[in-house]
Amino acid sequence: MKKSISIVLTLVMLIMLVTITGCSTASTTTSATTAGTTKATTTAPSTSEDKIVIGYTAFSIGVNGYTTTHDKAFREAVEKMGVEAIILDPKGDAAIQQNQVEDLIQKKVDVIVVWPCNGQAILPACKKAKDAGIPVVIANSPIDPSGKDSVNAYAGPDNYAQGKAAGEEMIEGLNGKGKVVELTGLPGYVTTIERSQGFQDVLKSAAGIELLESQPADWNREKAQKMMESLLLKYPEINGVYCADDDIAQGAINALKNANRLDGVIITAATLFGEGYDAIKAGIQYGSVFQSPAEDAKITVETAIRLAKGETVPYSNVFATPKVTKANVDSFERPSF
Amino acid sequence: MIGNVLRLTKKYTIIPIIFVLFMLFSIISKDFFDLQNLSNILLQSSMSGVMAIGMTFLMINGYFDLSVGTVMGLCANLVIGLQKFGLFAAILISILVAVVFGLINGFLTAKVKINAFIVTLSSMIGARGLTYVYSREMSLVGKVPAFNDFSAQDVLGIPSYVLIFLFFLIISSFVLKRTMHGRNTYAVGGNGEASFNAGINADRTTIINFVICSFMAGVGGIMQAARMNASTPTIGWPDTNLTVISCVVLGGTSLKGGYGGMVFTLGGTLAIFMIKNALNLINVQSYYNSIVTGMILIIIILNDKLLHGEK
Repeated sequence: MKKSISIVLTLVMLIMLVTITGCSTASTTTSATTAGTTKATTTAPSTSEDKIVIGYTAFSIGVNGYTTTHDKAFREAVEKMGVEAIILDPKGDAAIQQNQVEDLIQKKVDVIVVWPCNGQAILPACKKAKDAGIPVVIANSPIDPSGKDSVNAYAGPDNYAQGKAAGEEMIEGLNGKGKVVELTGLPGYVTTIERSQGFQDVLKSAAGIELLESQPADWNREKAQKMMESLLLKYPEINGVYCADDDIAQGAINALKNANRLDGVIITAATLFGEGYDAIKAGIQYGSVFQSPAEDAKITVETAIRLAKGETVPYSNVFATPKVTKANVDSFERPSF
Repeated sequence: MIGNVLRLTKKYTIIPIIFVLFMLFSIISKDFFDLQNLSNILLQSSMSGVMAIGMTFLMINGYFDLSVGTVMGLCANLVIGLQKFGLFAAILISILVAVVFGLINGFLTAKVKINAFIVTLSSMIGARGLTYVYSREMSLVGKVPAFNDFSAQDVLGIPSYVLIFLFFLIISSFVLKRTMHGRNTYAVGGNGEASFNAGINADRTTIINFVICSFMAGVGGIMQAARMNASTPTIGWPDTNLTVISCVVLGGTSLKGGYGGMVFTLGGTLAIFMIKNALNLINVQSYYNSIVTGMILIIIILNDKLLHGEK
């Protein structure tokens, strides 16, 4: 009796595993046929033997709206371009991500895409891949500049340009005159540094604007609010607040509201979130910068395919991040994050 | 001969399970049965494996430790951050910190008689907090290249980490089977009262096993840090502790204590990392990956119970 139950259980496990393999192969075949038919009208369909396989280890799929939309767009782009992808999810754990890169090297994929959980910890694994002759694309979050030799390309947003765009909005909103403070992201992160640099560089072009102080808000709304509260105590006059993203802006807005000093203050941020979208529409926030996860995913897949084909690809591959203010906010879709 | 094999598989049910999984994965994925991949699996399992060795002592003793994941993370951060004082000092201090955690866990559980779940849950959170305070939420980068080089070293084609894992397996097997402490551990885990009547110092045995468990977590942290030549505040969080515990339980060591061994733990660890590796190679979508892993684990444990009966 017990033995037969055990055999049944084992059979269930076997069937489950086989179904799953069946499913994953089936889904890639369907994508292949659809790609084949769309492609057939323009060029001859490629055979499945020489089909490019992208090995991708994501950051943490589903942890927020950005990663969810990015994942969806990544899959769509893969399907549209008629390639195959192995998509793995390290759930934000740098150690697991390292194992996954090793597994992808083992799988002999044509190109490896890494959205690094940590810009430092992933470097040994990237180097291993490059040594094995597999090109590596870093997606979304830049790695430490010291590791550039270990990878082939970066594909994602241009953080410097985003900081610069938010700075330009600030100058425009203040008509080139006023006192501003800056709330940055988590210190030490490349994204934080690049955005801050973009903002501060463009500010130098406006002689009438004085940057009072720059403080870290760690991408965190509560931290931003506390930081803004102390800045408000310190400076009796603040005309503008620049934030590294809209979450930080929300914290700053809360602090300004509590101090009854929100009126007339120009608030700009370097990345648009859903709440920032609402705040811009309501006229509370002056502007932000639209960073589309779909564009992000698209340029990543494109860069990966070009590398897999052996084309020369520049190190930096970025997509356009347009400015968003009250004037044009309706032409953008409200971000889901 | 065949009788011997049967007897062995009857005791170590994990062996036929590994065999079945191995055959299955080899058939399903053409990349699985490959010397390089098998070496990868061993390498990837070595760090959790080392931690599972410590956990085995504790679980035979009748307790478990939820703090191994974050203690490992704390040690990984310390061993990278303290390299400015020299590699040797960095390793020594990390290990000492781990041992202190073990002493605290052991003392509160054995002497103060607080439930091990509460004690180790608290130190799990505490260690995480310390990691964040120490690292200031930043990732740290190693300064000693030799530290990272060692992790990538091969000896006769066997990764150095696998040898470390084997080394600890052999030592701990010996301690468990051949020393007084090992026998006391089985006795205390099997029947605390009887062992007390037999004159065994149960409290001391328990504290030592908590220290062994934390010590091995520290070793795991150092290995992890060396492999990445960096540390992040989130290493070991959120579920490294559960991976380690499931390696031990899956192998067949009893959750209630008194029964188990290192061969079980080796088997459990290999099975878990084989499943992880194979699912990656097969390209199972990540959400399903977790579901399938959970289901396979349950089926294996159920099978074990059915064939083996209550232990």
